[in-house]
Amino acid sequence: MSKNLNIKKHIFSILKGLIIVLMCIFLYFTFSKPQASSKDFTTVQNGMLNNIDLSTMELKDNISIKRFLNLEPEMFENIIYYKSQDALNADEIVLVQFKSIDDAKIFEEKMEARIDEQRNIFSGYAPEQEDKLKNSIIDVQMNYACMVVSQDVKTIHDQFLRSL
Amino acid sequence: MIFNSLIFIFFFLPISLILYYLTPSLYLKNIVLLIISLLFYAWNDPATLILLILSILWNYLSGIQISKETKHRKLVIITSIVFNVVILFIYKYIDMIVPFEVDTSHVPMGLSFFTFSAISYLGDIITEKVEPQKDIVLFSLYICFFGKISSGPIVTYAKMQPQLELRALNRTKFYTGMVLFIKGLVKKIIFADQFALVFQGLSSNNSVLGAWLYTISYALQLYFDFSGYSDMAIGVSKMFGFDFDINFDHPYMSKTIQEFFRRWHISLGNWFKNYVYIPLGGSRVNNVLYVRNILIVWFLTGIWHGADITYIFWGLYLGIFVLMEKFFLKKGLAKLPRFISHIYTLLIVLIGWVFFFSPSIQSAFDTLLKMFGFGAASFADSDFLFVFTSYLVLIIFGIFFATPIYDKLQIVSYNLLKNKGIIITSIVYVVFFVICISLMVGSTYQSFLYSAF
Amino acid sequence: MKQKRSEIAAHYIARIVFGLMCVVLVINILIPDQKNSQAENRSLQTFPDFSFDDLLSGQFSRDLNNYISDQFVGRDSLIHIRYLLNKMTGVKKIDDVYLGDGTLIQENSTVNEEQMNRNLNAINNFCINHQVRSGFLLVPNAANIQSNSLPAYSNTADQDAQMDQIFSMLDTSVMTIDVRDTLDKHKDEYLYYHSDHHWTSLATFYAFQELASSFELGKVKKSDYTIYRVSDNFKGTLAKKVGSVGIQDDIEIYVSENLDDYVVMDESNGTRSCSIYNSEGLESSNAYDVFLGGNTGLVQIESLNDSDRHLLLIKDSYANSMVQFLLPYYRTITIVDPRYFYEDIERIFNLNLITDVLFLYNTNTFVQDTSIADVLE
Repeated sequence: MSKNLNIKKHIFSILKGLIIVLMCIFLYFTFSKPQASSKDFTTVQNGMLNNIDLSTMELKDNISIKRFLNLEPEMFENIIYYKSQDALNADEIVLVQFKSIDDAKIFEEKMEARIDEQRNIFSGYAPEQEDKLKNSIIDVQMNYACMVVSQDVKTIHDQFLRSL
Repeated sequence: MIFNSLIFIFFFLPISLILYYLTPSLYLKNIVLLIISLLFYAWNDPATLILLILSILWNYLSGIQISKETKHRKLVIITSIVFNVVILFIYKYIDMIVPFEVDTSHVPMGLSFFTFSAISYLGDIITEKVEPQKDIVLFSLYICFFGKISSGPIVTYAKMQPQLELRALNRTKFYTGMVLFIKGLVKKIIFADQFALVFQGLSSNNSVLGAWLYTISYALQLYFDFSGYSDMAIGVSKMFGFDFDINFDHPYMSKTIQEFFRRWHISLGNWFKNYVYIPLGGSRVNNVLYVRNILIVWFLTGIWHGADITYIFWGLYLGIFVLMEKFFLKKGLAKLPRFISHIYTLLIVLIGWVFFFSPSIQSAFDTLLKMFGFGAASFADSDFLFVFTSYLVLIIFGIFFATPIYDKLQIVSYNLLKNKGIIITSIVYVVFFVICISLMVGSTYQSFLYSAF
Repeated sequence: MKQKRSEIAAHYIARIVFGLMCVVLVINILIPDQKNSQAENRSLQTFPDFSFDDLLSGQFSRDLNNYISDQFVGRDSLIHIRYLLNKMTGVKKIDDVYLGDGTLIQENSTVNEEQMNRNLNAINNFCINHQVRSGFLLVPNAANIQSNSLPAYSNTADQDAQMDQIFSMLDTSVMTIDVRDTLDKHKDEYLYYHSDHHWTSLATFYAFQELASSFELGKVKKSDYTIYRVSDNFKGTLAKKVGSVGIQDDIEIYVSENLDDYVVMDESNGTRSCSIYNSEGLESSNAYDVFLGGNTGLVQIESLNDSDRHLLLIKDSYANSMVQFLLPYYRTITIVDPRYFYEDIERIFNLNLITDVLFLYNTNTFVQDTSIADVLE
């Protein structure tokens, strides 16, 4: 009997305590956004591609970036684009450093469009390539972002995250 | 979502009104309104809905708890209010305190406004002006009714409570509300947004007249922006049966700074008066404490607008003039012709706005010096003339509508032209509504100035 | 009594406006989405794809806002209303376009120093390495030559200074073809379109006379050409940008009297034609496309004349109306637009036995260009 009374008396405080806890959780998640990386581009690039076999890939120039990725290279602080030398291979690696975080949205959209385009090309006759595209990763981390189509996509992505 | 958007005017509002008026009882209507309000709130940033709901629950429980609590009353009161203050503080002022970069881009819409509403509710319960609201639907509606949550006005619970339970839903109210909404839309789209272009066009101007027009255009932009949005809010609320008090009363007609704040952002001024100034003793104390009270209120008024030293400076600057008026200035002004008082007020207010819009105290003084001839490259340059001649019509009409002359003319036209006056007014309003839509369709997104507060 | 009158007015106003809201709501829902705006010459936002990520980030709402704005019924007419309101109240500039008297003029662009230096270096190196006749024709824009058509007190970037700087940075092996004085002499003539940012064929003709003398192509007079007016209601880019009313242009083509047959091969699109004038382009929403059908990466023209000269023309859209004047003098003309060109310029150069290289740009585009250096290097 008295236990019920006690709970009733304190129900408000209990509920309010719960609200405080929920609020703290909410605020924590709201404010714990990823921070911009202070590492320079070369460090991130080397870290991301450490031990990755690039012998069948080619580092492409600005014209290729415009042509294949539909991106304007001058829009970014830094950008590199590796593409497989073999026309029938969908491997691609893109690493960018943004001048402004607002550019991330456009980059993401263009990369998604690129993956879609590639999937259309390879679907139906090259299932291996299609799989690679399905497992591809586009990841924006504040001022850095990458797009990876590769057998080693998990490794490359992990190394990308760790080098930031 | 904001009122001055196509999606609100041509999608959200008509559908809400239809749903609302199709719903049978007032009880159900309130529930529908609550759901609509939550949807409105979640529209741009769904995550913040969680914060709103938590805040509503907290204050709902606190209201009842305070009225029941006897033993730890003081503790409960303080913690209840502090919760609200802390949330506000974290979102608005954390930048000032914490050394590292915090992402403050997701400030929940209307945080300052609904938090102040909640605090006023608790305050009124503490002073036993009102009974706590036990119906969660009605209480939630008080806090988050979409007609007033985004940028006010800050309506006291005492004013809204009887309307929650009973409100007249007659046609005249609906029509008047719609007209007020259109009026606010015109103020925002045709005046505020265009004055914003003038202001931007003169931002790097180095002439004396350029600096003056820069400041004057901001003064008019801010007035039309905020009073326009308030009109839209009060108009929308009226369409759902709520009568709220006006938030702006031709403030640029004021003859003293004291009067200015009885006419500018009235609901905020009232809030500070009732929940800070009067609890501190108001003017019923000795002079020292009185000065302290005034300075505290004005400091808070300044910082309410933003976590910047310029806002604090603006607030205290005006507070000092209020003090000067109280102690000697007002008597002096009363001896002079009225238009001198008017000019004095406009001048002091304009100078105040320079601090309000400048990014730093330094740049504020640079602008002020330019206005008075120091550091300006010329009296008037071609950039100033270009902007001035481009927007002369806007400037003239802007000043005209900042005065109550239009309202008087409206009454005269009804009396003289009788029914023709009705037709003319109707046509004018509809035409200007369409013009607003054309400007909205064409322009890039122009966000409401006060929505950051 | 007056209280009642305002209420009666409110009665009418509210009903009309609420009615409008509902009608527009229904129409907007019923009318299918438009993909492109004829009047604005851009693609319109279609109903955004739904994803939880987008919903949570607020992107979905923003896209929905843009969607409603872009698909709004009567959008084109509403934009004209906005133009008229601005014009009638004395506003003289919308975005970066000046509202002149019966004409629209774009403000001058500012220089992207880093890119422009890169481009000029690349141009210089290219010309030095190839050792053929090279020229740079930089065209001034309307705000420069016809500055008295600008509204009073306008203040736009000093293009003359920009052009002087560019000409001074060119290597001696690159001929500078400065048409400012020539155009200035004719500045009261119809040199620039009123509704578009391009120059007219007349202005191109005057510039060609300068070019012909620098490149030793011979002397020409207007009577050497038959002039046809192919459009009298051309509404160009500027008209679309501001939604102007009542401003339109004539487009003229200059067909040389000593013109032999020729073939135009658009290598980027894989099409062939026997005329540089494109009727599809003329009928399209951008009639200036009558010249070459618009901009593509690589176009090859082969003529049956007995010239032994082969031109490499590296250009922006201003050169499109210049090609008609160049036809009689070159056996082949290889036209490259670096913004869309992805091939190897060296291969093109050697394949076509290039004897003359001409860069033709308008200043506003050149000072902001980001493609030239990449293509030449």
